[in-house]
Amino acid sequence: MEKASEKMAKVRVFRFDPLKDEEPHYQTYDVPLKYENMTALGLLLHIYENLDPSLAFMYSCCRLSEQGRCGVCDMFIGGEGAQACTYQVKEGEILLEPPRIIGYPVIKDLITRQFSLVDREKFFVPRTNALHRFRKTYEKIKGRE
Amino acid sequence: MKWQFVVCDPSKCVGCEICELACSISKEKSLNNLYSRIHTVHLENVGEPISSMSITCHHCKDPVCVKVCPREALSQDERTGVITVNTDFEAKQSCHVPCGWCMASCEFGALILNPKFSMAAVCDLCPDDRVDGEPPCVRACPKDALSLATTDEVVKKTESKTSKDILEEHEKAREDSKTFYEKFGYMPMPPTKVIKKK
Repeated sequence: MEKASEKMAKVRVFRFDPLKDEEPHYQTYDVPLKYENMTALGLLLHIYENLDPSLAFMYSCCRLSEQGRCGVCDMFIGGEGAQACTYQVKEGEILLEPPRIIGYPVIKDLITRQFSLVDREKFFVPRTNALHRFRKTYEKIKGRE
Repeated sequence: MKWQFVVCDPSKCVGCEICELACSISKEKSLNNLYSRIHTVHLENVGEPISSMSITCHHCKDPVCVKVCPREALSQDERTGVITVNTDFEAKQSCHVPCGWCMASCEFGALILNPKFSMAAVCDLCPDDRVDGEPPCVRACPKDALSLATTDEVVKKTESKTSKDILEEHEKAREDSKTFYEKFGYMPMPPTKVIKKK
C-alpha cells in the first residue's frame, strides 16, 4: 500500500475514429500525478506511453521551443478553451475534448482540422457579406505587393 | 459608464455600409471594410432583398468568446462590459496564434480577424474618438438607424418586431401580390357586363 498516498487524476477523453466508429464516445483513464505542476499534456503523454497507444493528439513542445507559443495542443479542458501544455492539473476529474465549435471537424480523437484564413471566412455568414465583396480587391492589392 | 452597445434599427437601415467605412477609418486609418468591427447583414428571401442591419459586439454577460479562448487573450471589463483583446505579441496571454475560435463561437459574428496582423478584433465603443458621446459609426449613419443603448432598452424595442416577423410579413405580401393565374393555374372568366334597363 505504498502507492495509496500518490495523487490520482480521472481523465475523461473524447474518442472518435471516423473510419471505425459511428458515434463518438468518452473513455476514462486513471493517471497518477507523478510530479508537481503536472500539465494536461503530461497526462496525455502518460496515457499514450503506458495505457493506450491508440490515442491521437498533437503537440510540438521541444527543448528549444517555449511552452504555450505554438497553439498546436489547443483543446477544451473542462468545457473551456485551454492549452494542454500550460494547463496545470489538480486532483479529481478532468474532461479533455476537441473544440466544440461549428467549422472545426474532428479528424481523430483530439485532432481537429484547422482551416486557413481564407477558408475560415466562408463559415461565418453574418460578417462575410462585406468580406466577399472586397475579397477580389484585397487579392489584387496583395498581388501588387 | 453604462453597459451599452451599438444597436441598429432594421426598419431604418438601408444597408449602405457607411458605418463600416467610418469604423475602419477611425480604427486602422484606412478605407477598407475588411478592417471594420461593424458589419452589415443583408436579409434575403428567394433572391429578393427584405431588410438589412449592421451588427457589432453585443457585450454579452458571460460571453462565449472569452471562455473559449485557449490563451486567455480576451477579457471583459466588469463595469462597462467591453471586451478587449491583448495584442502584445510577446506576452504569453495574448492573441499570437490566429486559431479563430472566438470568431467561430460568437453567435452574432461580431468578432473579426484583422488581416493586417492576423489577430482578433472587437468593438470597444471608441472611448477616445467620441463626439457628444457618440462613436464614429453612430455619427456617420445617414438614416439615424444606429444608436447606443442598454440591453433593457433593446429588449423593449425588439419585442415588437423580430426578424422572423419581418420574414413572415414579406412572404404574406408576396402571396398577396400574386396574380390569379399564379395562384390557381387558370385564367378567370371576364366579368359579364350587366346592362341596366330603365
